[in-house]
Formats: sequence, C-alpha cells, structure tokens
Amino acid sequence: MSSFLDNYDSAFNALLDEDVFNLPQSEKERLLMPLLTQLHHHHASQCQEYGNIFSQYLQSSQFDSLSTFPFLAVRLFKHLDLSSIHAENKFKTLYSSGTTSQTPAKVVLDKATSARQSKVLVKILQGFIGKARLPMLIIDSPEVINSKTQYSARGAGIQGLSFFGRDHTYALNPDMSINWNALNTFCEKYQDKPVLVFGFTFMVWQHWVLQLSRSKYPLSLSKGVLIHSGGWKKLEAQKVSNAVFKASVKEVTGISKVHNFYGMAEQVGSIFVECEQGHLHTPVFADIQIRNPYTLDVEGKNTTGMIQVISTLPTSYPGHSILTEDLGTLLGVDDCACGRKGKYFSVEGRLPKTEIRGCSDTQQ
Amino acid sequence: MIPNNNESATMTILAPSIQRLRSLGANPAANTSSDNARTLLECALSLSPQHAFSDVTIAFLSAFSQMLLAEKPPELKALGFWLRKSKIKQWSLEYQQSLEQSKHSLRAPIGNVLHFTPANVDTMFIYSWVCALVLGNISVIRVSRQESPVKNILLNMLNQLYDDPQFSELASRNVFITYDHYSDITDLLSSYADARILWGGDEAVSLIKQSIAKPKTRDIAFSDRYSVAYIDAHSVSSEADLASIAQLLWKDIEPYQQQACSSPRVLFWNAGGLSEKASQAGGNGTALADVALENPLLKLVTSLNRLASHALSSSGEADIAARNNHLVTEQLAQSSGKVTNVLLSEQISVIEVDSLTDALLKWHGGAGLLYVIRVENIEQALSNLSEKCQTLSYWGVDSKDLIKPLQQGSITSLDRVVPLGQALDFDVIWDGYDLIQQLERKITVL
Repeated sequence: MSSFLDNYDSAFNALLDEDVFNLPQSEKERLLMPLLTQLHHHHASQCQEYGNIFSQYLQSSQFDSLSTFPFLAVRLFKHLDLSSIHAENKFKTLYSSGTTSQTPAKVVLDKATSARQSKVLVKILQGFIGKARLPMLIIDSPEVINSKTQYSARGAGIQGLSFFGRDHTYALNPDMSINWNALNTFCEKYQDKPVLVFGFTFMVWQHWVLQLSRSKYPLSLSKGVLIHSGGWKKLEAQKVSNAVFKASVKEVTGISKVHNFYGMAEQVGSIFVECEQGHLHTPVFADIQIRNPYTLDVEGKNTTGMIQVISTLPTSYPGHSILTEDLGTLLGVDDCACGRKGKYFSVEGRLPKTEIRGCSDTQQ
Repeated sequence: MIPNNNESATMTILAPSIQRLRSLGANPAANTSSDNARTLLECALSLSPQHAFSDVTIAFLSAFSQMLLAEKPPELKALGFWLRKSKIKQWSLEYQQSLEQSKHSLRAPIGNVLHFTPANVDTMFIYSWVCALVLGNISVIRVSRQESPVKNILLNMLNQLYDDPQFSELASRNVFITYDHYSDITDLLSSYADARILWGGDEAVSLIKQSIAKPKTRDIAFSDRYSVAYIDAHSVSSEADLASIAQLLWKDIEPYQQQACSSPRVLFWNAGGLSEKASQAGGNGTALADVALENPLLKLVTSLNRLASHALSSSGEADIAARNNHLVTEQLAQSSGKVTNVLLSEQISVIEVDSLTDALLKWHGGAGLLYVIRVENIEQALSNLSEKCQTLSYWGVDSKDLIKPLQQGSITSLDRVVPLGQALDFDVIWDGYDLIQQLERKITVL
C-alpha cells in the first residue's frame, strides 16, 4: 500500500462502525471526502494509467466536494488493465458478464479489497434480511460457480451472497429448466419459514416465475425474502415493470419481501438496495451523483442523467469514482419515507449504444 | 453468430421493385417464391451490357441530379452536384475524345459489376454504381442493412425514375439489393461477376473474398483507412482566416458523423517558431492583430466548436451518448501518458497528443473528435502517417510545396492530397485506383 493510504484503514473502519443508512448526507460527505482524496492520490501514484489521466491534479490536491471529485469512464475497464497493486498481490480477477462479442470489463482484486467487499456487502444486506443465516435458494444452476475458466460477475455475485445463507439449494438445471426435485425438497422443508432467495433479475423472471406460473403449482414461501439484481433491460423489452414483477413473484411463490439492488462488477460490495418504498439507497460506504449526459455537470433532484458511482472500498484498482453508462434519477436526500438517510434514487436504463460506424461494417 | 454457409438467407430487392423487375421481362415464369429474387438477379446478370455514355444514361443521371439538388441533406446536394448535367457531358466528351485519339484501342464495359457498399457513408453506393453505369456495365449493388434516412431517400428516387418507361433498359440492368452477409448469395453473385467493388473494412473485404469468382474477375478492394488535415499556421494573418479554416475543417468533419475514411481525424498544426516571433514582434510594439492572434489554435477549435453547436441546435438531433464517447476517448488517450492536453471538451473534443499510435486511431469514434499534433514542418507530419492514411487535406501551403516532400521516396501512405474542405469530394480516382479504368476493357485493334 502506498503512503497515501496511511490513514485509510482507520477512516474506513470508522465508516464500518457507523449505521449503514443513518448518517445525514452532509455528515456522510464530511467522512467520505478525506477517504476519497486518499484513494485518488493512492491510485494516481500506483496505477500509471490513472495517474496519467488525472495528471493535472497535484499530489497535494484536496477535494472538498463530490461534485468536483474526478471520475473515470466505466468503459476504461474494458480497454485497459487498471491495477494499483503488484502482480504478486493479485488475489483474483473479476470479469463482467459481457456478451460474447463484447470485451468484458476486468477488475483486479487483492485480499484486502476482496475482504472489504464481503464485509460491506454483509453490513448492507443485514439491514434488509437480518443477521441470521437463512436457508438459501439460488435461482441459477450450480454450473455458474463451478466454471473454473472465468470468475464471472454472476458467479461472484452468487458466492458473495452465499455468506448470508445455509443449506444452499440451486433451483435450476444447467439447461435453465426448474430442478423440481431440489426445489420441492427445499420448499417442503422450509414452507412458510424465513428463507433467502437470490438470483439475477432476468433469471428469476424468465426461468423461475414464468415457469412456475405455467406449472400452476404455486410455492408457499410467505416468509421468504427475494434479493435480485442485474438490470431491467430484458424485462423492459417484455414490458414487465417492477410492480408487475413483485406482484407475480408474490402470486407464484408467496414472497412479499422483494428487494432489487443496483451494483456492478467494477464496484462489488457497495451495492444500492431497494427499500420498502421502491427506492435505491446509498449506504454510508458509497454514494452517487447524477450527471447531465451532454455536459457531464452534476444534476439536482428529479432530472434523469448518467449515474456516477462512488465507493470507498477499492484500493487494488482505481474504481472508487466511476461514471457509468446507466441512466438514473436522484429522488431525494435524507427524506425517504422508509427512514433511511442519504441519497436515494432510481435507475432508468442505459445510455443508448451509439454505433461506431467505421469503414469496417459493410457487413451490417 | 455465423450461420451455416449452406443456409439460404433472404434477399430483398430494393430497386427496381420486384414487380417492376418482373414486368421488365426477366423470366416471369420463374415464380417459385424464395428463389424468385435470385432468379430475377440471374436474369439481370445475363443481359448484355450497353454503350458507354448512352443518351438514356445521361438523361437518367440528369433527372437524378435534379431530384438530389432539391433535397436538404448536404450529402445529397453534394451527390446531385457531382452528377450535374454539365459534369456528365464533360465526362462523356472526354470519353469520346479518348476514343478518337487512340486509333488502335477500343473501350468496352467490363460486363457485370458487383458492388458491396459501406454503411458508414450512406451515399457511397451511388458513387460506386455511377462509375460502372456510365460505362454501360450491368450492376448489382448490395447496400447495407443498416437503417438510414438518406439511403431510403435515394432508393425512393431510384424507384421513381425506374418506373419511367424510358429507363426500362437501365432498370433491368442495375439492381439494388440487401441481404445478410453471411450467406451463399455472395457465392451466387460472384460466379457472375466480372468485377467486384469491395468497400468496407478489412474483415468484411476478407469475408467477401472467400466467395470464389471467375479467375479473371477484377477485385477492387477498399480497406480501413483514416485521414488527416495539415494547417500551416504561418499563413494565418487574421481572425477571419481562422474563421474560414474552421468552416472548411467543419465541412470535412460534419458529414457522416466523421465516420467516412476521408474525414480528418488528426490535425497537424504547424506553428513552428511562431511563438518566438510573436513575442519579439510584441516587444517592438506591433499591430494589434498580432496580439489578438495569440493562441490561434485554441481560437480555431473554439470556432469549430461553435459551428458544431450551431449545427446541432439547427438539426435538433443531439446524440445523448456522444459526450460520454468523447470522454472515453479522452481518458484512453490520456492514460497512455502521451497527451499533453485536452484542449477542448464540449460539443467537439480536441486532444493534443505528441504522436499518432494505432491505439489512438482505434479509440477514435468520430462524431466531432480531433487529435492535434504540433509539428515544425510538413515532413514531420508525414513521418507520423501509416500506410492506412488515405487523405491529407491542407491549408496555408501551396500544393506545389507538398509535391516535393511527397516525392521523397519512402511515402507508403496517402492516396489523396486535397485543399481543406474538399476531403469528402468523391473522385473516380479513389484509394489509388482509377475506377473508370478498372471497370472497362481495352480492346486492341492493329
């Protein structure tokens, strides 16, 4: 670790001691800015590319507000190997689940960053599902984590969440059909008892909810909590809103506690979970800003723009301040009816892909 | 996803309409659904070529030109101007004269020409086709499947003209189609082709070349290229000069979202020795104009940015992803450490770099982005260019002064050197080929 991080651990541990959703925005920023400043100088000194990009900032630069804090375009993780650690300290490399034709994003983790991610994920999710380890149903096939070739974001997500459960049961076969044996055994054993169900939004919908509704065989997991993530794009195409999603889940499984969360491979751990009001919340470790897509200026409430995600976790790669290509809206600060403090927001989709129409597309 | 090569993909005939093509007499018996379009094409490719610069062709192009000149999009106007009657007449005259001059050489159309046209420049399929048409060739033109308003306007015009009985012979011999590239249709068409014009990137060209043509078929292939501009700042003497340079540069950058191979992506700025001169002159109390021209490069890109903003506000078609795409390129360029400065990052993005690399060119996504490289002379600019460089457009230097450095032996790049503002003007000599020569046969009679 670089000398810039001398005070990082103590400051980060102070954050860990805070209530995850209890700090008003102004106090939270007061705690975040020194941490982010240290992270910036650390990465500028350890990651050559990051240092080159922000060479106009002096080593002594202090940042006192999020709005002036530098950010990296998320696509850089696809084109460059951005690392702030020596190769021998590499613990694992995380790849985003890009489609086959796209280059996946690549994120380098050391043990310290990886441990921080797990710790923070636990802290955040405990606020929604409690501290007890629940029987866990995973809406995926076991293949997704057994694949040794690549550490995919989907596999990583499942492994990350596995901490919260016991008696892990995979609900799907490798061909994405329901594994009725496994599912029935799980449901008989834990009928109307607290359970944790986790899966990626589209998988949950396409391969679980829809298959269950076709089978006319509703489950009774009335005390279950469903946590899901992974974007709405495919569901939007099927005209499935969050409300429809939740109603259908309740109908075929009995689960009424459903929490979506927004997160990404480039910032594993510091996720933004949907509250009872349907709003995504920023935990004390992380924050967001909405930026105007045409000017990149920071927007206020109720204006849709690009989401900038900020996380105090990553020291092994410069992913502490990233401008995503997702579109979202800041809904409010400190005043959500659920009682959680800080910023809360919604995600509206993605920036449309502009076709790069080079010479190379007679093929189109 | 590459479907099985044996699979028959669907093909759509775009112009003339399939009904019109059928009524033109090309085997109306062949009415077997899916192979119908193929049969019609095979019939077209079995017709005999026509005379070069026939009266019908000249009348057709002149009517086409008038329709184009009445349209709004600048790329259609430019195409209309290129096809103006006086120009075609002149072309025809030169052709006749060449026939009279060479007593022992006849000129004949090569026969069947197959065009694979690019998606990035949506008027290119017409330029490519017209070169074959004027010589009397038969053409099948495969256009991109990508949606484009300009392409639709052009196809509508062609269909309108094709419906006129006086152009029947022409309509049956010049068919515009589209189909998925991974298909056996390329094989079928290639077996008839006497020449194939392959626009498009390296990958697309290699793919098409896998389809076997006749042994004597001529392949005229255009590959991935980029282009640059060169400005000699020593010739800038006023704000008005800078404004006019900005206009010319914008003319080369704006069309096709800067995706055409000929649009400059790099600006070489030669202001060698200027700053010293300016400060010396300033010390002696020179004219105000010199003082006002401090930092002319920044002034230039600022006016370029104004032109871009203006174009945007009048078209109302802002691309929501453009700014982010520019940010990605800026940060990628900066990450290599070769960047001195992001000069401007608003409507357009101007990034000063110290030399040109393949990575920088790969990251360039167009839509108003320029790499600027300061040089001391033209030789320094030329030494930056790779063999993929196609056009150099210049300002502030006499073309005569460019010839000498270009003749210095080792230049493997550059096929065109044109004044700034003319980078996109199409010419029958393109990428080093004379398309007219390539699309005809010379017959020697002794």
